[in-house]
Amino acid sequence: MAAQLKLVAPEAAASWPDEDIKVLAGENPRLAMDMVIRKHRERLFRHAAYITKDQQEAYDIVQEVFIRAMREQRFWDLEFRQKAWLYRVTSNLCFNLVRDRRRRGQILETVPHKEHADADQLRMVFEGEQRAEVLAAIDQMTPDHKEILLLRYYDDLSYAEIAEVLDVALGTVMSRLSRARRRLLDVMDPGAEQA
Amino acid sequence: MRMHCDAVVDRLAALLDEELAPGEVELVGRHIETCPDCAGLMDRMAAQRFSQPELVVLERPDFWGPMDAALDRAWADHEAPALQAAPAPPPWYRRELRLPAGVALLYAAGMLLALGLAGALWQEASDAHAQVAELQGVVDDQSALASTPLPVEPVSFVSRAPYRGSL
Repeated sequence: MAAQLKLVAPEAAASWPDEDIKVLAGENPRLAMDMVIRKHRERLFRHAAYITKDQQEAYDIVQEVFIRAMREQRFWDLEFRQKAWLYRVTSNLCFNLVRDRRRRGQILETVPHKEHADADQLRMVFEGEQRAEVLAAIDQMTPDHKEILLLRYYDDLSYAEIAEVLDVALGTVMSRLSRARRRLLDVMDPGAEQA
Repeated sequence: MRMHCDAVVDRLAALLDEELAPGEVELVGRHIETCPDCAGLMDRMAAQRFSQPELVVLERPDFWGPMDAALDRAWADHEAPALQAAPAPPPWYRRELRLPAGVALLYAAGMLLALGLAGALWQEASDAHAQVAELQGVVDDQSALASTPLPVEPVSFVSRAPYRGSL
């Protein structure tokens, strides 16, 4: 795989349309899968890291997602929505992990554990305090609101893509996102509305 | 048509993200012009800033190396069954016959017809053979009769005294 990857610069893979990669898969599925991995892995890792707050867990989840993609029979079908599928599987694995943690009685923290901030662990460097504040507030929200805010404002998915990831109607995406943003305002500045 | 506040609030994020259909943009805009509550909420939402935190870990050289290696192995496992030598085809008499249902029915009907015809012909041939055998028996019997010498009955001669009378 590594030898073939050298043929494809990461930025080139990121700009390839899904349809072209699917056509390539007919001749060279391994190279096509490499391009899919290159194209999506960094954003998927960010998405998983935002939810799990653990670099190693996020890394393992992204790896598992691509292994499942290799086994997915429909993955190269022309009508198959790869991006939506990748985010959906990533989200499911992340929230399953978070749920398991809660069941085990572990306390979720809004920022990485202190030991996680070590050099070998996940480090999120914030340019300003507001970024940390917003992310911390998002962590206090319900999984539905948290996920849709991450998909839209941190993973940069369109409303149509979010609808595919969450398997809901476009109108539901609009209303859920509006309510999530309104809730975020309440969490970050509870007294503002009354004022 | 005037929109209700709840319907407008549900569309505010889409309005700010420019994901709202043009017709709805106009309706929401008209409502906001006359509704200070919705206008205030929209202003607060518009002030929200979402920006991606920088993940320093992604800048580490060969950060993806272990994942590439693991996916390499996974791909090899994924391809392994396809790369295995195809098993030798079974002998012709053990091969599965794959035919469409209609063709299979026609095939079965043809086979039954052929078997029936063969049976009828065989029966006819058997009858003819029996007749020939019977006739042959008759012929044989007659031949045997013809070749058998007739029994010769002993001739007895009765000697008579010469006629002495007068005619």
